[in-house]
Amino acid sequence: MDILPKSIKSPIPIWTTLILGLSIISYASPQISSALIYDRAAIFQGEIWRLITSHLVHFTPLHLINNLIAFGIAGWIIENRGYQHFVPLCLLMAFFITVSLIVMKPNMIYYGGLSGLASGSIYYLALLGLRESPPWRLVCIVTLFFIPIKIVLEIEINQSIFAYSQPFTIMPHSHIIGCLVALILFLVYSDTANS
Amino acid sequence: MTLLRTLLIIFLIAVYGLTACATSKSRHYSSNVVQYLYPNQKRPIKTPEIPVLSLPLNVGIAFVPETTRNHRTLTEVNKADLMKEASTHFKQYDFVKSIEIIPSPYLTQKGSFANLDQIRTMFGIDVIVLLSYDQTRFTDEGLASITYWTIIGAYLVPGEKNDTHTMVDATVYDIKSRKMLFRAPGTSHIKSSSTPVNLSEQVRKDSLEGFKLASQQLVINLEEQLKQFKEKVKEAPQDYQIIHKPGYTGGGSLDISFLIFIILLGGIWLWISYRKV
Repeated sequence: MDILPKSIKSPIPIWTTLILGLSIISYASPQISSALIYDRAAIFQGEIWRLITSHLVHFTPLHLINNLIAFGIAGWIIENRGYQHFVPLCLLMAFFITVSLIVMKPNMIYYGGLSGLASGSIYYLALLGLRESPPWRLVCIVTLFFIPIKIVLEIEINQSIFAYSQPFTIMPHSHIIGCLVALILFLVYSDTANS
Repeated sequence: MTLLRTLLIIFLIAVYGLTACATSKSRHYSSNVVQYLYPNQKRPIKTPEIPVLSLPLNVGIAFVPETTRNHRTLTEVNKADLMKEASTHFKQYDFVKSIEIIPSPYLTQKGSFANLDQIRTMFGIDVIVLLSYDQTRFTDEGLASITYWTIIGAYLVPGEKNDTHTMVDATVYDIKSRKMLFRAPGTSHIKSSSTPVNLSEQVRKDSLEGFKLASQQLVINLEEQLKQFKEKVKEAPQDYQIIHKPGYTGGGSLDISFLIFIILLGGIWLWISYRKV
């Protein structure tokens, strides 16, 4: 007996699965993760792929699991509903988050984690959901309020609200940039679609 | 008879002059890191612990006090210049947060690790680069020194041959664990000649030049040793514990509240999709 309705049983969300898979591979192999991580000095030495790939690197199992669940759900819904521009969204978020870290966090030497992309994807999903009919539209409105409030609280408290022990400093900064990129992309494509 | 007496006098002068040519003077100046850190040989040496390096590091750099306190070859200004030169090479590494130049008066004779602990507290450093040196200067009188008998020769003829051998050594210690992390040497050899009148000035110049050249070599060796140390830390994690200070490593991470929210979001979407069907 099929558990999921037909509308949900669309093909596998390729891009989401790919990103999740790469994150797991990177976590399993220290050599791969050291080649992909945001390493400020290495980026300045020309290893610019790290601007994009650093988001696939995770530092602890909990860090990996939390980010994979969040990004997985957001990506799954986006791809399943056929929302466009998910790949450019991910690439732009990845690029702008790391570039902003280079500019605004000069003392931070290493960075990793999908959360910036996850936050941005959820925000993009919620923005596109405004065009949908209720009750999904209502859920998206709540999401659009929840995410900024959560980020503000994170910055105020200077860590995650229910922080778990981690060997790194949590960067709410990346969540802000992720959401801003999502908002800008949404507005750009809305304008293009309208015109 | 008078001629014979004159020849004898000339012969004696020549013999004296040639003997004078063989005259050699040497001076030795040094500061010794072992004497500074382990002055009391009777006391048992404490075994170093496993160093916990909290990155990025606050590094201090200092010259070990001279073994011969009344005979110094480097002034405070010279030392500060050499330390500045070495410190610029440390600054380029991402694991070095700051580098403090520690003036010589803060290091006491035979101060040992108790003195380093004081410096650690005063300057807030984790690791210290201890610079020590050994310089030997030789002055020999060459054949030309025979012209000094003319008095004018002592002003014009550079018959003094100077040899300056210098070694500068940098030893990097983790103060808390008392473990030496790595060391690098730098050596130089300067040769010059001078008149007896400006001998001391020339020797001073050679001395400083010797330190500069040795320091340049030291910096090259130090960079190499730093690279090797980085590899050593990776290869032997049991020997060095590396921890990161807040802000050194950043992570894009979502906490449990966010996770609950996104799971709820996914659940609601599933539920809505079911209802539509």
